[in-house]
Amino acid sequence: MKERDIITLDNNAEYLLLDEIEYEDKKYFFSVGFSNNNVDYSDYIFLETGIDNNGEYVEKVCDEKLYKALLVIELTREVTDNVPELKAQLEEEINN
Amino acid sequence: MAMFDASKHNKKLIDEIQKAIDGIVVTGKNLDDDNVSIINGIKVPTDEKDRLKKLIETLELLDIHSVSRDSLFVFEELAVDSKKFDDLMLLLKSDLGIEVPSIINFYGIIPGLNIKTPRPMLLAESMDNYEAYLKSYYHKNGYDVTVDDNGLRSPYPHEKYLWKKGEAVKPDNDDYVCDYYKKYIEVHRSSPERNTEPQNTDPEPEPTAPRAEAGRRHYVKSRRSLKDKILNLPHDINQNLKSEEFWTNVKKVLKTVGIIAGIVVLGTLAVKVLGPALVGAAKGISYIPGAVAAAGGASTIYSAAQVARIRSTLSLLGITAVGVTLVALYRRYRKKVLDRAKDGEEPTTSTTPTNNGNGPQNEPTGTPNFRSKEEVDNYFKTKLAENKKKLEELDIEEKMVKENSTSPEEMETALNSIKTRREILERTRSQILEMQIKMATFYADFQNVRPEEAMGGMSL
Repeated sequence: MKERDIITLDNNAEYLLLDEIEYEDKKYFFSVGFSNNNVDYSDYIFLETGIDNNGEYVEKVCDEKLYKALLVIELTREVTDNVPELKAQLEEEINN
Repeated sequence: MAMFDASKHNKKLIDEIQKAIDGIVVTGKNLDDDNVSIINGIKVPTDEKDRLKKLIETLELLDIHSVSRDSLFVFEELAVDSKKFDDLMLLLKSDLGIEVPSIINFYGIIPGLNIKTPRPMLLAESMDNYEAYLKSYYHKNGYDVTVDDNGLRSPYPHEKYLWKKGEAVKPDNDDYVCDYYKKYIEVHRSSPERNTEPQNTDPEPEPTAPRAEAGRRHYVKSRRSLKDKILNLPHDINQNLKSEEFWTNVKKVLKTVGIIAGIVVLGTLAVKVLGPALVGAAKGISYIPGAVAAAGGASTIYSAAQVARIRSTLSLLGITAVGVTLVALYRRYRKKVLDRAKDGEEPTTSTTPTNNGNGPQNEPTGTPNFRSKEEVDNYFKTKLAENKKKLEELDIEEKMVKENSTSPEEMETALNSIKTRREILERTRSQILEMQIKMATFYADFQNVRPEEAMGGMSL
């Protein structure tokens, strides 16, 4: 799975994968519901991804703490993308 | 009706912006005519022309006299820590394109119901959608409002309170209703269809499109790449979905809307600190041709000029606030990792600064902490000097290329490379200048943000 993919789940729900996040050794996608070529603005979720014997699967993130952490990561990316100088500053801070 | 002088409340901002304008004008006086432009009859350095225009526009937005209080939007969300910034910035709703108070106005527990206030209406959302959401939200929480014969609903509980810093405040006037409800009545009454057909009081049916269910694994049946148009995205975006650049823009629009939708769970203070920046980001996606703001419908509310002005205005406040918050956030994150290292634990994510197992590190010394305005000034002076030096080196390189190239092709290639690098450096310079004014103006105000508060009690 990768950004820009529209995935169809086993219950026929569809999601557009907007942004990949790696957090605590797991891969998540910030995703938005998708139906009949329409974005469902009321259905933004984080999907945890994984593979087991039955194939690729996703699981909606419901844990509030994890949800907040992922949202802050998205938020940080969004804001730093808008302010290159800030991004550079943060990178400097992290690398030091 | 009593008229209101909003410029008094915006004075601090106005003064700072005026100071910046004065600085540009003074510099212009010392330059040769070759390097100056004339703006409003004033000589300014050519490379400062755009910034000056932006500052003047912002000043015009803030310099508001003799207006009714109701016509103003108050940015009180910037209240941080013990510092009070009530009425820090007032803007005309008409300049903001605000028709209904929509985003990040209040969050808290509704008295008597013990449920949280519903999420705010999103920019990309219609009133009908939002009304359906409100009905469903309250119904799920065991509360329904009455609907009269004309289909007009009575106000929801949260609409009868004033909300200050996430707390419900009982208004003096028992008949008080919020601006959104007033707007709802106005829209409802102006619609003939709504007036003649009473609304069904039953809750909205659940959406028919299936959704991912909580607490279970969903296996992926199939996947495809987004190449077809999305019906409720603006036309110009759809036209170009196949290009990578436009996918980036679509993603940005959708992510911003989604983050705003999600931010409600982050906690009151984080919303107050971070919210305005995101509002600015959502409204400021003006570089997508034809698509002025976030998806569907918003383009009918905001003109491109409005969006540009909103963006520049809000970024002066919001992005700066976020800047400080994020630095605090990373510091806290980093501290946690260092603490883990101290306790002998391995860091758990690839993006974490690992310390290479050498035990706790000292605090970084290379990062400016901006504890005073002088430090801010010095930091940006250094950055600008570095930028200038690189530009001068490019001038020398260009001269050498012209003198020493052995063929026209070689010279063209080298000059193109220099041109590209010069453009990047010039863009960087304008970014540094922009950040300089933002940081110099507001850093002092936000330096007291504590990480745990900035995160609204959240633990990473």
